Amino acid sequence: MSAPNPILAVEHLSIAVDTAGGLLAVEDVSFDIRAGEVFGMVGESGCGKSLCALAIAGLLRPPVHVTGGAVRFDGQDILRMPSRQFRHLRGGKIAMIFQEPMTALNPLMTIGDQIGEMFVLHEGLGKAEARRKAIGALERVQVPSPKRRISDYPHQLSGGMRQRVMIAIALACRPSLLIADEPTTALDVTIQAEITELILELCRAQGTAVLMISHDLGHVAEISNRVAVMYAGRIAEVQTGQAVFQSPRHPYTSALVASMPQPGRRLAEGRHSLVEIRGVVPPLGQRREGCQFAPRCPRSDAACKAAVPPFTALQAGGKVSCFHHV
Amino acid sequence: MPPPPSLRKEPVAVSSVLGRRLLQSLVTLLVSVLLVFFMFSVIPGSFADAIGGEKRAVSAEVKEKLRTELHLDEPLPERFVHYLSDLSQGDLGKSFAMRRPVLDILLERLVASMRLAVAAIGFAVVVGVPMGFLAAARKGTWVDAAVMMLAISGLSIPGFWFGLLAMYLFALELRWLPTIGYGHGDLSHLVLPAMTLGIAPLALIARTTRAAVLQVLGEDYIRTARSKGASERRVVLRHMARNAFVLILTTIGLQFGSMLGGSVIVENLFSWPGIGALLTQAVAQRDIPLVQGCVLLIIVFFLVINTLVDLAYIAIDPRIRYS
Repeated sequence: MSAPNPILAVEHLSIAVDTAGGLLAVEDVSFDIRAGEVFGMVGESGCGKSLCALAIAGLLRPPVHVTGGAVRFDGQDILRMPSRQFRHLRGGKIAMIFQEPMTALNPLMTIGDQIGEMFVLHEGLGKAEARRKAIGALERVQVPSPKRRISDYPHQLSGGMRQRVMIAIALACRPSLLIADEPTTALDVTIQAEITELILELCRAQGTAVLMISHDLGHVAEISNRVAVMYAGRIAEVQTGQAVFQSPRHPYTSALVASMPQPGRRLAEGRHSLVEIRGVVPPLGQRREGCQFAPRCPRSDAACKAAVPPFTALQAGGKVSCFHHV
Repeated sequence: MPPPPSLRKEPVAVSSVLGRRLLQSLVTLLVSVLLVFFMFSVIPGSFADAIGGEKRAVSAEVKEKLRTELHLDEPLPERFVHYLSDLSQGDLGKSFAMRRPVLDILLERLVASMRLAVAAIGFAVVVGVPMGFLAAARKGTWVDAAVMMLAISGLSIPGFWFGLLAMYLFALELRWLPTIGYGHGDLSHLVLPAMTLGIAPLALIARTTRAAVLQVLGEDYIRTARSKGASERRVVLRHMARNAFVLILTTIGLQFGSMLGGSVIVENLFSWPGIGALLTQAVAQRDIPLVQGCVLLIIVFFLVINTLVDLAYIAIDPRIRYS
């Protein structure tokens, strides 16, 4: 199902946390992202989506590390690449935005220096030239009066402004892939859409593919070409943004869609509570054999508890990991 | 379009910080002068009693004459008011024993004490910071364990005991360094006292550094720096070091500030002609003006260093500059 020229191919990626037993946090995750595509990744907290993002950017730190699989960027296996070479890609070709704009910027450096550092590192520019280009980068993310703001420190900016600065840093060197790990979760609702729109617009303009990570299925389904739904360390299904929302194939995804609040529905159906998925996500360390969703799944049977369902390719494109998919 | 003025914070003026500091310092000084003054009026024995010591009996008549001469017969509150009014004119009084202005004596002794304090804090920082850094970089390994063991030992071994051991090893056995004394101000005489005075601060600084480095390395902005493609070296030097230093600076300042007061034992042990040795001598002789002077100097030193640390923070940390 690999379309032409995937910019990123993740193959059977597994990530473990080094503890006494060595816990697998992410298992057998495979997907690819095409050049210029917006690829969404959804899941509850702890499902491993952020770990996947950090692994792709080579930013996992002990005690967390990749235990298997490969990540190919533009055909090169980046996990087995010499660190110096990988460093060149990181920031230059693969950029990342994080969830917390309040803490992601160095409090003792001006934002001009922090943006400019990208040009120093990847384009070998001098300080003055880097600063000049940093003003341009700040202008692109629509920060008002960039010439003055360039000398500000992070604590002088609001959360939304800081996230704009993060975007300016990430997109400074026109990367081929932007990993956005819940870039709007920590922001006020009123500016969330603004920031998302800014990211998408800039990436579209310069042909940057986006891996958009979120816990909000509706949000991701709306903006992504394709979406991967993760549950307890594995991919449940991959479909186009529209299909994943309108015709989810994995019972987990359909339960997620069913549980989304819709204005007026509760009253119309005479219910007193929102629809929920019964049970809880198995915590890391208490995962079981077979499909992790089986205990909460209305369709599960003995087979689900015995083995992990292999992926079934869907006719309309995409894949689903379920013996009894919808 | 310029942002509304209320959103842009203006830098804090250094002078206002200094002014506030000065005011606080004055109160601290006043309280401590009061404390020392009345403490010495409560403890038994006066200069007139102490002058003879145990061997020589001084006649009651001589004692009485001395008491009058030194105004020791005046009521305490009156003496205190005199002292304060002299002090406000920069007059620290005359030493009972040496019959010379206290200020002159202090200034003579200050050089020796400052040399010792600067050498000791220098030793503590130059050795302690890299040690803590190394422990953090090798966290969880035997290097980390060894450094932290040394740090705990440094904190718990009494200074005079460490000094005696060092004296025995380097001066008596190896004969590399002189045992005691100031020499003629040469460096070889400075080494052992400085090490002895610096060992506890060194241990504390090493521990603080380790904790600071580990804390900063766990911050989100370090991950951001790595995500930019910065080398580990650059991450450490440009992003970690300054942030960690902000956390260590207070410890260094406090340790340096309390060094004059902490030098009492070391100066006596090594016969170092500084403020600490002078203070012990003055206390033994109940030489109240001299004791007052020493204590004042020790406090002023502490306050000055703390003010310098505050100013350093303003220079380093923009969050303070604009808050």
